[in-house]
Amino acid sequence: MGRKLFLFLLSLCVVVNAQAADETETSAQGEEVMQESEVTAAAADDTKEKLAELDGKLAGMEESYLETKSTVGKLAKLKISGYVQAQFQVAETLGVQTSKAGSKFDTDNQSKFFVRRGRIKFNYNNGLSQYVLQFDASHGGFEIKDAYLSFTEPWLKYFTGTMGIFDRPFGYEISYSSSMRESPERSRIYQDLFPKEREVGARLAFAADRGPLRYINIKGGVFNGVTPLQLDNDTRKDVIGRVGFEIPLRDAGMGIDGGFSGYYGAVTNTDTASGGLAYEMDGKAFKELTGKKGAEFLREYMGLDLQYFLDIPLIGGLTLRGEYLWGVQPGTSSKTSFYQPSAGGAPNGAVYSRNFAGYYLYWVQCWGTRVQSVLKYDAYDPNIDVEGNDVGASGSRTSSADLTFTTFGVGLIYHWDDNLKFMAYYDMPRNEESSNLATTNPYKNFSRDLPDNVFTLRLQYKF
Amino acid sequence: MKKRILNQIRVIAVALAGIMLFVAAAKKTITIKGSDTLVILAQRWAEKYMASHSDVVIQVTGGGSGVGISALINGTTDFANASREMKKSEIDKLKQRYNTLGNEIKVAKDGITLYANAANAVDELSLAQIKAIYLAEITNWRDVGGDDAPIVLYGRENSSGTYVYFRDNVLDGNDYSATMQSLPGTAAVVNAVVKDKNGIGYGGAAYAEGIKVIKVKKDASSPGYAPTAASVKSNQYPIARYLYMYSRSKPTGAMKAYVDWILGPEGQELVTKVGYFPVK
Repeated sequence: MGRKLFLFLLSLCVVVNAQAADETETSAQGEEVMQESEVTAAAADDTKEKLAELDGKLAGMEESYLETKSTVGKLAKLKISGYVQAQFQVAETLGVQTSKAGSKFDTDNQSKFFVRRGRIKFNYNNGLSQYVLQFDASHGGFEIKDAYLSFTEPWLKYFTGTMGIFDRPFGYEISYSSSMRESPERSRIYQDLFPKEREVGARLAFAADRGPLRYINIKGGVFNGVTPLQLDNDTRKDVIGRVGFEIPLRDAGMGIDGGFSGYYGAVTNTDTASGGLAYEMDGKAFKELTGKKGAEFLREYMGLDLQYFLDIPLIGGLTLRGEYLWGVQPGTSSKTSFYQPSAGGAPNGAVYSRNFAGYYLYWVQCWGTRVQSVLKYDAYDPNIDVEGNDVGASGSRTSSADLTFTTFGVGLIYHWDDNLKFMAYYDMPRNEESSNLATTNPYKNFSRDLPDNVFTLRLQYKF
Repeated sequence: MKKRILNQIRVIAVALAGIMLFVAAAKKTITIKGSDTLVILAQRWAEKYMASHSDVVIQVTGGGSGVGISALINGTTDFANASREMKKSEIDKLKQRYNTLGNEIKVAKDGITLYANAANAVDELSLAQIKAIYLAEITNWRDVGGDDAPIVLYGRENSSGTYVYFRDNVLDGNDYSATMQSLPGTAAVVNAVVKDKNGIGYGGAAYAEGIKVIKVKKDASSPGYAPTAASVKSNQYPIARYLYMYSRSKPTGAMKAYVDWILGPEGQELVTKVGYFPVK
């Protein structure tokens, strides 16, 4: 704009100077100069007009640029990510039912291809607020995995509120993405206590990114207490939370993280027989309680988790991580996964309340930048009040659901590039044996260790 | 039979020795990616180091601190240059993928410099004024002691570590004004300010050529400081920061030798020559 003004003034000066010069010229020359000055003035007008035109065009382009920039800026806030896990599995025998390596095998089946996970996630992040929607399309069906919004307060930016369907804020393994996990599946105890990992509810999280408070993180929330897409059947809500810490010892090439988690909730008995039957352990047997329809049964878990990271120069990083969980779980006679209303609110049988305990340990070792090896051991005792031949004893009302399982897994991972990953993993579960559970059904004969090892070869593509 | 086996072992041993010699003789390549603030210095380091270490090839590219750290996480670079500290989310990704927290090396110090056009009448600004300018709360140079002219904001793109550092430490975490023109490198910011007499920009001290450096005051009553070796070293300059090199793991072999050289007298002398400040 300034340059245009300058040119215009310069043109005017030329005109004025030309006019001043005219006074000293002869009258004969005057006419000629007058003609010249008219031409110069006309040229200045023409230049001015062209500059105005260019100015208009530039303003238009600038407006268009700002509009495009604004559109691109909005699009940049939308991130689409996802991954597919396709795998081939071979079981130790036909019809393995007790493995937790992804899915069960049909009676005549010992090997299969299938898509374990097919995720797509949309995340619109506007700085202090975000929208997340994630779907899974796989052999498990098509379902919503995440659907939530979250917002961070603008003052300290330490507190973030979230509402919708998202990971329960308990322990470590739940929030550890399946796309990053070094074993194909979560530990048996997590699969049992936290099916689908997610829940519907609201959560408040504290995480500072500076100052001494950055070494701690706290998250806690209120949830329906049912699986994500199930409607709640009572007004009581479950409270879940975790207090975590991080100790980075970068100079020593290591870090220690950990946390303490708690789950305080209850389920409502929907059984209708004899006014509602329920069972609680009394010694080594379940004791029958009557008139318990609508009664609440505690669902309480505690958990401690610890992760240790060590940089081993020349070889690669090492992680040791473990978690121990214990508490009370209301289930049914045949299932230790948590009790919840059936679809449509139909009765779900009697509540069986059990004290449980379990843990897992991982040793993950990087070998260079592409190869990782993993050793994993997990144990889950769904009923710590009985063991061995106590299970299935006459009159005890205990069943194979009360047996302890331990699983040893060994795996190798190769990262082809940032997107593609290969995993070979061998899962070796071992069940507790009870002579009282002997049966001719080879898939349920728990008087011996069932042949239910599973080999998984998985390919994952992530973007 | 025994002789045949011995011969085969000899052949294998010779072949293995040959392979080992070939591997040992092969040039070691070190890739470095990231901060545009550091890219000039990193290139000078690489050139000088390679001149005296013919067995090492060092490839340096820019792109911004965020780009470098992403490359470190996805395994496509050995070092990430950064003009900011790694974020927690980035460390978490390293933990998950490599089981390490990343190795941080402070290689130089910098004073984030406020660039103005040579014709600009303003000599110094307080941190509060800079913040207000970049939040578009002050939009005319007249309000900070300059001419009656609109302030034109220039800055970096969000992949830049300088962008993040400036936002977190000068704007107190607030977002830049939407009127700021985001440019792909510090050189582009300087170039824009050179041409625009109403422009203001920010970036590394080493880029401050052909423009006016505005002194920065901690607050309205404090003296203003230019980013000099003395003011940065004494922490009097209010927006001084470290420049970093990150690796996934503690460097060994050729990578360690290179880092040791950078932190040694030759490497730190180049820091000063390029326009930054040594760490020691």
